[in-house]
Amino acid sequence: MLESRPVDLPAAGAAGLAPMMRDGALRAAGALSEMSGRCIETRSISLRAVPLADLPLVAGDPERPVVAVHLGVQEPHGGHILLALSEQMALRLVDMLLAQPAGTTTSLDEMEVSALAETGNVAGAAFLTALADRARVILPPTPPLVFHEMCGAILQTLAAELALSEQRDAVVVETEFTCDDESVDVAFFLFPAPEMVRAVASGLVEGSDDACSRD
Amino acid sequence: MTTILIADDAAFMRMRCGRMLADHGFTVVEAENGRDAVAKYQEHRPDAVLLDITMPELDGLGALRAIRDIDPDARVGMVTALGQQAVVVEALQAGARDFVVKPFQADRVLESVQKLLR
Repeated sequence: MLESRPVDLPAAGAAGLAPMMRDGALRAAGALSEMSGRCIETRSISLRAVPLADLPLVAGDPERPVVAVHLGVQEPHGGHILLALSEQMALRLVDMLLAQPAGTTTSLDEMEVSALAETGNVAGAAFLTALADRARVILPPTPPLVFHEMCGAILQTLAAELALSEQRDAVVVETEFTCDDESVDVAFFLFPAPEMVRAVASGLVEGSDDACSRD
Repeated sequence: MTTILIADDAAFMRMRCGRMLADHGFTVVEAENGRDAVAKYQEHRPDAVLLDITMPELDGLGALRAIRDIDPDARVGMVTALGQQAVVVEALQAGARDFVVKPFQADRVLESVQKLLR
């Protein structure tokens, strides 16, 4: 069973983090809407800490095949972004992106993979822009990579990467979406490395100090 | 014929921008990373350049600086998902003449090209 608990952060950072994540999720949804030409909105956003050993379970059944777009957050902050879609949703999204009738795409070749990669890139960068601008830091992503395999295997790889920074828990920001008011099988995850959480929380604390000093 | 160099690691974006510009009478040269963009600039001397930022090999900011070293009058616009304020400022200080944040409407890229060519 998946164990999770609230994220432990400095008070001012924690207070500011939730609205920042909401803003990031809204921007990611806006970017997805713009690209797909459909009304994509956030259905839910959650922020929690999960033991690294349980990370492969955060997206549900770890044996479920998914198409996932991965972006890294470049050093010194570090972290990972994952846009995970069911296979069916990935094919449906490609049809939207390429302005084709639904059901046209039946496999993922070079152009289809590129369209999905760009979608993850745009959504992930929109999310990071919301965080970076509010916390006054720079959070550049790496170029996107697309994986088509079992969800748990992808998350296991990310858990191993996060373990390199000697952390025992992963901070997990998860957003689910609706498309034209219907739930869709698309999940967006941010797994910030500890340095990124610290930088974003400190930026918020300093920002709130600045706001006070202007008063 | 006016030539536009499009540098983006996403084939999907090169296709989308390339078709739109070709439909408006431009000749399009494509590059798939920053290093390729610098080489194609040397080879083709395009009238304007649209550069993505997040690319492998050499990123768009590095390519912008390299292209401006080759030709200080190069007309370069950034077309990128990376719209963070500090990055926009850095690109403009490095000589970019326009900055378009993805996702964008087709008209916005055409406007940018027209602005670069003025």
